[in-house]
Amino acid sequence: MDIIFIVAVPFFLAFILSLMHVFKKIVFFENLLSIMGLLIPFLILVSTFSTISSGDTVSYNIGGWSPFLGITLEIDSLSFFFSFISLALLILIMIYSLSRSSKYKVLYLLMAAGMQGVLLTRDIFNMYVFFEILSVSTYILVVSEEKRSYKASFKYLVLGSVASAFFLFGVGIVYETTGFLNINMMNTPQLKITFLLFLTSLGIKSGIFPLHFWIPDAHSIAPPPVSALLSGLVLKIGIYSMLRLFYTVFKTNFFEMNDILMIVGAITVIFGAVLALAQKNLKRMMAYSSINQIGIIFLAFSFGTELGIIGALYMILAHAVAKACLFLCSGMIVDLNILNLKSKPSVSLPFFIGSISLIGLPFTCGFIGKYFVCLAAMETSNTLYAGIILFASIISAVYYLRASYYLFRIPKDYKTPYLMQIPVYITSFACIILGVLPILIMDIIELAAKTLGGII
Amino acid sequence: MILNGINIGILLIIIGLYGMVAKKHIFKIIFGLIIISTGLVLFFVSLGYVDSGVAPIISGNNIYVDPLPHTLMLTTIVVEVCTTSLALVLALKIYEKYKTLDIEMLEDL
Repeated sequence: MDIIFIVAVPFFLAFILSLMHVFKKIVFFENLLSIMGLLIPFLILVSTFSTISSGDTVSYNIGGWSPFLGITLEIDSLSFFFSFISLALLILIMIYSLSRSSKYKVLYLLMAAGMQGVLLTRDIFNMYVFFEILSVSTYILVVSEEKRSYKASFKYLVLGSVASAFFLFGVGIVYETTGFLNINMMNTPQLKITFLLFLTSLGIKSGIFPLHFWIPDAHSIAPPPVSALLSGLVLKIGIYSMLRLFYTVFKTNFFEMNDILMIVGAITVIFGAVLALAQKNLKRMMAYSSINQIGIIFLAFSFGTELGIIGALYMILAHAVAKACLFLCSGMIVDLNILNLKSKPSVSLPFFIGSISLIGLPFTCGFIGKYFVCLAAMETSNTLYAGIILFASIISAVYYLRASYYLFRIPKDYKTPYLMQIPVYITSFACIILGVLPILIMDIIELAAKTLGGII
Repeated sequence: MILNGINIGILLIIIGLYGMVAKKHIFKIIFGLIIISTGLVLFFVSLGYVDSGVAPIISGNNIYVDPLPHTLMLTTIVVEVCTTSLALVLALKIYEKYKTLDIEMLEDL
């Protein structure tokens, strides 16, 4: 099947689901449709694996127009990597949240479609449109019965709209200077102002230090599966766009701004870690820890070397899996005050495994990620930044092990459905497997780093 | 400064940003959002402008304006309508729950 169905199937099934909501409520059929809407794209994606692993790309021109005139969808190794992680996690989180309302599922599928659209499209304006589909559905998903969630959602909406406006402004300048909207064709030199506009816009979307302030509210107040999505995947989509645009469009050494980007990344790392330590609420603590991890990823790819990109990609994988696991666990914990955590004992073990992966202890995937990032820092003789990452890891060890300790200490028996437990166990198992056998995913990461190539 | 569409568009974007940062009322923040998007639409439409150009229906050797930015703006207007309506709904809900629309008072609650 053509790769357009990766985007089209979730869209179409979201439409069908919203109609079913009007006519008749058949829960089994609803669940089947919402799982199919993610499973079919996943299978189509996996079927392209043999082409991707040999270094080729799969592309599709919408409507048969040539890439110069129309919109091109393309899967290369970078898109494949992100698309694979996001679809796998989307399926798991959907299984976790099957008991929720059908409105939730409609928005969830729309968000999945927008996400895959951003990852696959090679048209920069089309990327903006898919980003809006993704963002508008997440603004609504953040809202829950809780009173404060409206405030958090409004804050997120305002900042997200400003980010989109900056992105669109950048698109206008790019179109005026190059005459192209296709990312692969923009080979002519770009202006510095465009770079800064995209940096600000995607910085808000992914939560880099001075632009992070919507993250703690939105991530901690949203329902647990939505927090897992926001923290695990939606932030990474901003990072993907940065990698894609900075490395294929702005090839020229980040406009000599490498050092500034590294400093911003380092501040983000320290800032996230220190503020996470000060939090009383578990979900708020994990939201600040996301800022810390995003800082490491940002730092890694601003080194500009191939090893740095490998480290960034591995950290993205590690953080997506582990943070999804932790947020899904938090859905089963009754009291979220850190000193008063109560849960079924079965949640404590996955929580602990996710925690040690985020700290970066050996035999977990977080360790491999941090190892590569520190190696990249040494290689470009920025040993200070490796030290900062290790220092932040020690701080994160303090707050994660504290939470795990309280979780283990008071075992209380609460009934949780098996459908909610399965995704938690799978993600925590993946943390270990990817840490012991990194070779499983290393080929595709190396290929992606080679396609992007180093800058310096 | 020359008064053309591009400059006025950028000016409108800056005014909108100022409104969003400086004003404390939720509706004024939403108005700032609308002004930003209007500025963007004006900016894009002016990008396609060509001196003494005509509508791009090919006939003879005329000079044509660039139609692409205009078509892009149709999509952007639709997106802005969605975002604005969602923002208004959230403002309504916030008023129902908190009985105020002042950002500074909301922060304390």
